[in-house]
Amino acid sequence: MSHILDIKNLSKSYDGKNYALSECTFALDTGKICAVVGESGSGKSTLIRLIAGLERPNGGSITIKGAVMSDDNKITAPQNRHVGLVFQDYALFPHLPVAQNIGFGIKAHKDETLQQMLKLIKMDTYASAYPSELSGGQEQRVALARALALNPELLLLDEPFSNLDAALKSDLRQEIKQIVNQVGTSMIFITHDLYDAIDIADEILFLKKGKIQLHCPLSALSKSTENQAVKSLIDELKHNAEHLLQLLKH
Amino acid sequence: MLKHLKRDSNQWSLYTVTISLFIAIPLLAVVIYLFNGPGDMWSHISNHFLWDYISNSIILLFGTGLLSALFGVSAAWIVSNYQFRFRNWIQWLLFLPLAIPSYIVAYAYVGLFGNGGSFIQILNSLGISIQKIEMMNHLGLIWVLSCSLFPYVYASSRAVFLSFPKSIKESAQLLGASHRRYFFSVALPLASPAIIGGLFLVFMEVLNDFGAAKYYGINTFTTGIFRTWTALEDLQSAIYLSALLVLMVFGINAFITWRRRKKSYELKINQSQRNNFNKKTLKGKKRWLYGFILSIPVLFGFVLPVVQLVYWAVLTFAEMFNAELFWIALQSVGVALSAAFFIVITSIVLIYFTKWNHLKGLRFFKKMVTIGYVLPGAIIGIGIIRSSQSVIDFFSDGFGLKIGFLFYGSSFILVYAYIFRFLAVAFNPIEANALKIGKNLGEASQILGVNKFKTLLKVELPLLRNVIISAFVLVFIDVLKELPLTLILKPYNLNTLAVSAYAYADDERVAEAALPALVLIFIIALLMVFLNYAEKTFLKATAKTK
Repeated sequence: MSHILDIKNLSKSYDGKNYALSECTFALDTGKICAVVGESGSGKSTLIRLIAGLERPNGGSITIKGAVMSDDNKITAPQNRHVGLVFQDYALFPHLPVAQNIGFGIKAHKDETLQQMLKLIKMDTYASAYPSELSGGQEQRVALARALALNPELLLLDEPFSNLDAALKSDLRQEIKQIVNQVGTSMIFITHDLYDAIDIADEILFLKKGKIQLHCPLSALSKSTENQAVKSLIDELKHNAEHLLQLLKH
Repeated sequence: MLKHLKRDSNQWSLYTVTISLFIAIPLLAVVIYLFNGPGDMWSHISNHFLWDYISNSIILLFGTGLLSALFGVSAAWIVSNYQFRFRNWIQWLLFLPLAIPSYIVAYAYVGLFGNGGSFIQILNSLGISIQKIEMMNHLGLIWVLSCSLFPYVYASSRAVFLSFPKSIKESAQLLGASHRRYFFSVALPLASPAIIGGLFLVFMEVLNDFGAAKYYGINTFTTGIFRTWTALEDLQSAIYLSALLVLMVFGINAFITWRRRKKSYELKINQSQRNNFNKKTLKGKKRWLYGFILSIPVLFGFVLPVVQLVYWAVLTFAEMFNAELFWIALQSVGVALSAAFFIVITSIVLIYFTKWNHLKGLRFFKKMVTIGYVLPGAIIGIGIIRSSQSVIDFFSDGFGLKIGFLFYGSSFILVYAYIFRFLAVAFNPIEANALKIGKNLGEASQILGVNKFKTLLKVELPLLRNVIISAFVLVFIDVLKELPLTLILKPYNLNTLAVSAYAYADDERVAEAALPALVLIFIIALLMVFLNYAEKTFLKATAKTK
């Protein structure tokens, strides 16, 4: 199977001293969904911002569908990378209604694609609503449709479920998986919740302090818990979740 | 950084550097021409005038700072903590002294308190025998400048007092603090960075003042720069004086930045808690006392000067109300409109060009171009005169081309000077709002394949509409009031309301200065009312739909 994404020795430092991401190397097969898991500050957002071209790496290379997007000598602008990105806060244009938000980047067959997207996210009746009139889940679906409307080779989602309540989260996970499978794109999404990853990802990538601890198919995860670093990371994530639950109970 | 210099630099880097250097020419010229050595008159100036310039400027800064802080902070405290009759009107009236340039207040005061002045006549009719109240000295000038500049301190302290969360006041009360102790131990220290910020603007206006100091016969740096250049005809020594003034400004700036950093507190404000504590209703003696405190700056900073100007305007109406006055007003508005337009455009261009390039070192240029606001107009004027003279000489000596008319025969050079002087007025609020919008929207648009220019037009500018309108109006007002820069650089056939009022007063025809001054005040007050109304109605409504 060919790689949609190939990353080699990718590093990024914002202050020239501390590395948010350090010497990361991994590849993603076409059509796969990869969950990037890690604590806050582990470099998850930096990784997808680098892939999208929104940050400039200090070293290493990024190749998308066989074409080098960035290395020490060149850098391809975000709009020419054929990637879609759904921001954590959705970044919907507040002054434009849903239809104009989704249609913002569409150049050819605008009306047709727009209708398809509205149907895909089941929001045909919301075309003229403004983002401020939508619920969190609806905003996220609009952001997803806006990214998918350009038919990206690779879809990136930054903490897509972090602003949603538990019930909505579970529904949306399945909905996103279904939509992504329907359009046949590859996807990388960031989460700090293992359940998100287990529920919809094909493979999982653990990051800690800017370094990749493990990258494996979901099916191999149980074996990988023998890896001490991954085991401690999973324990840490579980512990945090349990602690949070306890706090909520009290 | 050098490793990726080629990769990270783009056309926006080049544009940013080019535009910034072009705008900052006046400042660079002052620095560069310093190396030519002092002019012939320098020893005369340093022996006879320099100490006067330094000491008078320091006395004015100190006195005006103290009095403005007293007026501004006390007024802000009362309107933000107490409920009383006409509170809404009074808190707005306290901004109005900003509508009158300080040199016009200075003229009006001579009519009020000078020999046989209006106020003196009222006192005489009440049986108080007094010939005049001497205003044309240091104390008089400090009073005039304070009455006219205190709104800078009032505005910044009022904003911070109103933003205090309810919990701060309630915890102080629960811990047994009296109202007085709450003010001195909690509110004042918390508000001090904002008060210092307001005072900084007062200091810059004091150093920039030319009209009032000249009329009252007090030698300051700014009047000295004018005298050295015009009366002593020594441009090089004027540049030396300008450089000293730049040093003084940077010294004040460094001191204030240090004080603010030392006293920078972060108040975590929950918007729902913001200023929703019940204001105490003023009663009894306190009502009269606080009413008196509030009335002093409004009365002396706005009402009395306007009444005096109206009196003079009535006396000179037949002579002064003519087509020429309309023509001067039209020219003033025209110059201010074009300057405001170019300043807002330049601000947006620089903010976004800096954002679009990836060289972090270029942020320095952003600071360089916004420094004009803290430089007195006289310095900018001298810098421009000196550098444009070099360009004129270059074309004349090298190619035999006479291009002087391009510089001195048109308003081009004046508008250019306004851009450097007032860029920060538009740049800072627009940039702050652009930062508030965040980078996600721009990035989302870019990833969707829309180029930077279209993103700016379709996403960012519509969201910045409100702040752009406010910035435009504020720059317009500042340009309309500006005097020293306009005096130095205006083409011979251009006249503005500010220059016209100054010219009559300088000619000892101060009553004739009243009508152009009143027209100027009327336009500014009208714009302030518009801005106040707009922010409460349609600008607020647009913000809500977002």
